Amino acid sequence: MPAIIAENISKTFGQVKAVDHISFHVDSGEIVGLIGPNGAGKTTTIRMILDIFKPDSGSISVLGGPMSEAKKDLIGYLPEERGLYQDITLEECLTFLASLKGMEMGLIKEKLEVYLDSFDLLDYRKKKLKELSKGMQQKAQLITTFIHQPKLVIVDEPFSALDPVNTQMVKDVFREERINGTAIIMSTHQMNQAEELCDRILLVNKGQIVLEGSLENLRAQFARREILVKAAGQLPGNIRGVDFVEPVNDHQRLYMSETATANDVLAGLVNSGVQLESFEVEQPSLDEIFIQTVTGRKEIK
Amino acid sequence: MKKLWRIFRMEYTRRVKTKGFVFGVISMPVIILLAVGLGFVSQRMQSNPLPIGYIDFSGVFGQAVIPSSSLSFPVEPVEMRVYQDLELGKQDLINQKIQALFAIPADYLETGKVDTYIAEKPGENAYARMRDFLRRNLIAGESTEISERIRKGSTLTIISLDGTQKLDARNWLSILFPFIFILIFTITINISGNYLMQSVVDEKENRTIEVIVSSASSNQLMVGKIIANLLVGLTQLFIWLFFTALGLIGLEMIIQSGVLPRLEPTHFMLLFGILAPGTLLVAALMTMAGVTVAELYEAQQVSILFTLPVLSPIWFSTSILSNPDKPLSIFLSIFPLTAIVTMPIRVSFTAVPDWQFILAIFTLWISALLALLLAAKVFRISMLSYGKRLSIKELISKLRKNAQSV
Repeated sequence: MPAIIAENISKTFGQVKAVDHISFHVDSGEIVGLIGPNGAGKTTTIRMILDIFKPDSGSISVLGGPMSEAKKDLIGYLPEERGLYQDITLEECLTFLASLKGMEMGLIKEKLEVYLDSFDLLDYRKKKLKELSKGMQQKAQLITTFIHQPKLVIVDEPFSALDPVNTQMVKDVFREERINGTAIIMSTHQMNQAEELCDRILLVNKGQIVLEGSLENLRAQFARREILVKAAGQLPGNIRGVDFVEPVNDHQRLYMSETATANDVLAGLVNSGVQLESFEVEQPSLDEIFIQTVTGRKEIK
Repeated sequence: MKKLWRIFRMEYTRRVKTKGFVFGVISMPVIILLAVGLGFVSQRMQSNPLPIGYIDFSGVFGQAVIPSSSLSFPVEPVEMRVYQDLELGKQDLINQKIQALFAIPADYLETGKVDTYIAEKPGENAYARMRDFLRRNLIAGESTEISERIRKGSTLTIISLDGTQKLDARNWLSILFPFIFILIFTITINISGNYLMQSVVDEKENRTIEVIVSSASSNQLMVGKIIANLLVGLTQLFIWLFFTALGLIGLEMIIQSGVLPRLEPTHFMLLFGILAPGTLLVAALMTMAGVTVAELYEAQQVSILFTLPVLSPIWFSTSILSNPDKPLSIFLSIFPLTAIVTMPIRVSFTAVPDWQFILAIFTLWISALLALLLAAKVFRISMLSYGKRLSIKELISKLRKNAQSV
């Protein structure tokens, strides 16, 4: 069952069309990356899903129907800006926010112990939030997002302020939640994280979805027709299916002709007696796809 | 309801744990205790342990007994000596055997004058002891009840012709109630209103609001916040009143002169029927001011728009006091914002018809609840306009749009 179905939603602030007739869905057990440049409409879309803003037009179905107060207990939300009370202890703050998700005190205590331990925050439970580092506060906010075992999680820049160890730990949490059937929307500028985690990508620009699909599909759409090879000795002057060869450090980049396939090039190299050490069909990174889509520039290098 | 309670509890406990609140709560009783303590110390310092002497030329006090001093702490009791010879008394005064010598002249009963001989400035306790001696001996022949009544004085009650309004002239609370009421309201709204506006402005800017409204409704958040902050103000006030009551009880135990006020049913009706919804109404309006602006100082400026009308009846107080039953007074005591100040004034000085009282309570409670709902709506509209002030035009347009989309 889709956790979110957004149909033709729009939102305008004054003269600015923040979201312009977009439609998408997010299935249970799926991590969807919401990426796009600043001001693309990502946060507005998230706030409309959460019913913080109402769309001017279109409809959003959340967990099988319109958003309601009861459904808020089934949603975990991590906003980009940290929203925690700074003048109370970590334990008090997390207990309060978990209680707002309808959890009973006994269960909160039990779960909090586990989460604080796994996020390495157990020793800081009696510290005031303002005494914690940004990274620790980010982990605290992540605990509030997951502690009530939501069916839908919406996270905005979840990895900001986290060191590599904690980033890895959070990724593991995301993967675990996906296995448990939780639908996750992740808005981020960190393309490498999106590449690593997301099953599907929604690229938003100027309030519209300009690209949508699995990373594989997107890469196929943006395939660069370039092959990186390392060979013992010189490459022959003419290789079947290759228009141009460019040296890159101790490798050679081969630019394929319009009609050639990677198999054609590989066969050509082997038939020419080239001793190949490595042969890699180059894939565009999400970063490159993003920049190319948003700016319209083809050559990223 | 559970979420509302949790928001309320978090807001309340956060506020009462702040240094500002604790300091505010403690400062008042400490100041009162200091003032009272200093009063006692200064009274004590003005006392002199030496005896006093008197000589009676009037013959009125020939059979006088010297009662033990009825003066109590902080006045230091002193011994009294009777002299038959003025010169002997003066000699004792010079030799510092007594601190003052009182000569009761022959025409004392006509004039009430007593001559006092001193070498150095005597203690205040010398005069107090002498006055006590004179009064107690003058009424010595009366029965205990009469003596006590003379000592405690009489209570005059002013009653309106139709008998519906009574004013106890000695119950100072009845006379001062309107002013105390206004003071209570001003203090509560100042403390609570400031906390509220600060809370809303801060949380709007640090995005905590966004996290909370992803878990609870804007109505729950607003109502929880407003009630919690109002109770913070009331908690502070009640702690102050508690210490004031303790002080009055202590004072009564010491001076036994009827300083303890009597609370009348009308006082409770005013507190729960006018003050409670009145503060709720103004707090909700002040919250609206807080959510539409980006900075606390702006919120405080805008909030004057709501506090001024509330205190405006003070301008008309002469007219209200002299004509409490004229249409202007009646209107001001029923109109929600002005009723908060006008009704207590009218109640103290005239017999307010029941229907006017009930109408004022009703309109205030309805206005307070409507203001709460409106505050929640405005909050929802403007909570995410970070760092931006919403103009009234924008606000009205958004409210209309919101009403259409609901």
